[in-house]
Amino acid sequence: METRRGIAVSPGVAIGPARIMESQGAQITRKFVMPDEAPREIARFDKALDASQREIHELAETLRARLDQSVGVSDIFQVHLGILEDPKLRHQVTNLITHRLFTAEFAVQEILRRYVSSLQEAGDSYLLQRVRDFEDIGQRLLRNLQGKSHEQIARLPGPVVIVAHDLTPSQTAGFDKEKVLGIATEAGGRTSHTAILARALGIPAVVGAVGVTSALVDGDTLIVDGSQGAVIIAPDEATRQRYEARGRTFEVIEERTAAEFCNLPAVTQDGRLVTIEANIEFPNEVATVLHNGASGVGLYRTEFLYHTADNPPDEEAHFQAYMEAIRALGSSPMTIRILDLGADKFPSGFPERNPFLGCRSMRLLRLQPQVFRNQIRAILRASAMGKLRFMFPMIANLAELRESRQVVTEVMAEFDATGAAYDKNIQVGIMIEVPSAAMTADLLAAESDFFSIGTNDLVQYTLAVDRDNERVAHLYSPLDPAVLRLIQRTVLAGQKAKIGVSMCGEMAGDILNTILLVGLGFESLSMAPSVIPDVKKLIRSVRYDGAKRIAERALSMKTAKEVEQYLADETRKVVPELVQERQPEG
Amino acid sequence: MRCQKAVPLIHKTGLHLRPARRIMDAAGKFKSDIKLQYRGKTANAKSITDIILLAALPGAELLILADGSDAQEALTTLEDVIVNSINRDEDI
Repeated sequence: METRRGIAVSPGVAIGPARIMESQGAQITRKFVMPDEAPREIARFDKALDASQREIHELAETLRARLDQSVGVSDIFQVHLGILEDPKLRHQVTNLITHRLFTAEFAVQEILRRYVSSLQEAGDSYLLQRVRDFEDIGQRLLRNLQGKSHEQIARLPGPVVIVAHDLTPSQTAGFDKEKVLGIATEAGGRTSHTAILARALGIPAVVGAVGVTSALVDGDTLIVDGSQGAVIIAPDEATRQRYEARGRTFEVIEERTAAEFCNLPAVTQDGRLVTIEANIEFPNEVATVLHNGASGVGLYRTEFLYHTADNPPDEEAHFQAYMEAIRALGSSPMTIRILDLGADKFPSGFPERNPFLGCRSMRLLRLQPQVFRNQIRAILRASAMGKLRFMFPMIANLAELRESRQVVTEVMAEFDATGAAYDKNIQVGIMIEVPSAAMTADLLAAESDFFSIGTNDLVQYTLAVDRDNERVAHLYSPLDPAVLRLIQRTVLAGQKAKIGVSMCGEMAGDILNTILLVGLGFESLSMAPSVIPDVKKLIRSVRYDGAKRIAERALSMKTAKEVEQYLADETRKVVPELVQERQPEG
Repeated sequence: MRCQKAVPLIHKTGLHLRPARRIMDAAGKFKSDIKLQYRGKTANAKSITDIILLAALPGAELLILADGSDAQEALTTLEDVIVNSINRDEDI
């Protein structure tokens, strides 16, 4: 058994035989044909072009039918189709075949290479993302030229877990949930096409699982835990059984837990209540998370609206999304996070040498006041209909908080002037995810209605580690003493100012951290929906005073490894059935 | 008949996928040759690939050139698409 960590991008658990997908980007060698063979090459190209167009037609249709509202996703392929139908492409390829006697494959590769390099010359980061689309189109054409089957997956005998270095949008979109149980890739991030499509298709997925393709062979049993970001190769019997019990898919988990812990409150044995909420990305997830036992949405990420459109969403698009969530929420609360994007990911963005230290989140919105106002207006409008609060991500100091709140005050004044309805007492909070914010949590608490700790950024900024960088990923740990001290500091500052402190980062969704977080004094945690039942079960099995002692002890330890081991041991004592033996990493 | 007009592009992301498709769809309705020029590069407005590869960024000044029997009408239509539809972010 071997466990690889990655980024959880699409929740749920998949267990099945691994199927490695070769990367399609194989280089075509430079080959020529005899002049009298050129017409045959052109005929082959025409056939491949035709087949590719048909495939995309079908793909776009299927996606429209399967994803109903995710129009943006199938739009990607409408543009692919436009490029394939463009006479320019055929003209250029046939020219190379006729005049330079290239093989059809080599001609296609050459033309697509020219397209890509002229995009790269423009140097605009948004345009650079389009490179992937041209590569995708090129690979589709080449596959059809080489007479490979429609989608490799179509021939698979049974359900599999797909393992790949990276997947193109076409590959991911072509996956059928019946045949593809889960996805694990080495490349990619939370906002990659693979991640967005996997979520939309409801296939559990982990990306950024470095080394996973070389760690297994076709047919090895694989568990993809898309909720916690783990890929377990050749699991031992106990692990396998534990995951099987959790169910093959998200839906199964729901059914099982509906009967167990999901409707019970997370109360410790000595009576301390911890509010458990869920993190979501799409408004249509709300019904599922409530069903899974969340008492509300602790983090609603609003970036999806930005990823699928060429333009930032307008006020109405935001409003409609929030209303959809509110209708499903009823009287349950929801915390909306204001746009948290780097400039490099933003539609009108610009390249930056160091995006994580650059113009992201609130810093970006400062330059895009209308985009910011649109979102605030939509939230305020929706606040008249449901229980909402919102928070600013990436606040690093009090000045940024004041400036952001000033905009909210102005928008509220506009509402007051026109008599438009909104919740005048709506809570405005901040994410604590920059070390400077944690260090000055006392100052920020005085002017903020609540805190929510975002651990992914807090860890990477505190430890100076990019966990997607395989050479340093082993240094990344939310249990590092430096991180724990910042978290403790934040909780204490919040308690002193009598404002709520929650954690919505990935750290909150790992049951090995639950006792620690309860002991540190968190009254509210927000996590991926699928882990809620386990977390509730654990909280209901411990005592608050005991958890406090464990937290104190953990904070006195000197290394992340020590803390990890200690918490795993303590958790295992309480709920042995939920704790797998973790392989030492790195 | 031949005519031309410079139009500012203030769309937030420049001429990318969907805006490019809208221009191509509009241009495809005319018989005239229609071209877009930007920073010394010329694109056939009926080719989505050409338009995307023009890599026109926000703030670009696009020169629309139309040549043919319905050139004037084509020019007016394309200007309208860019100024009133793409620049205003309608129909995202």
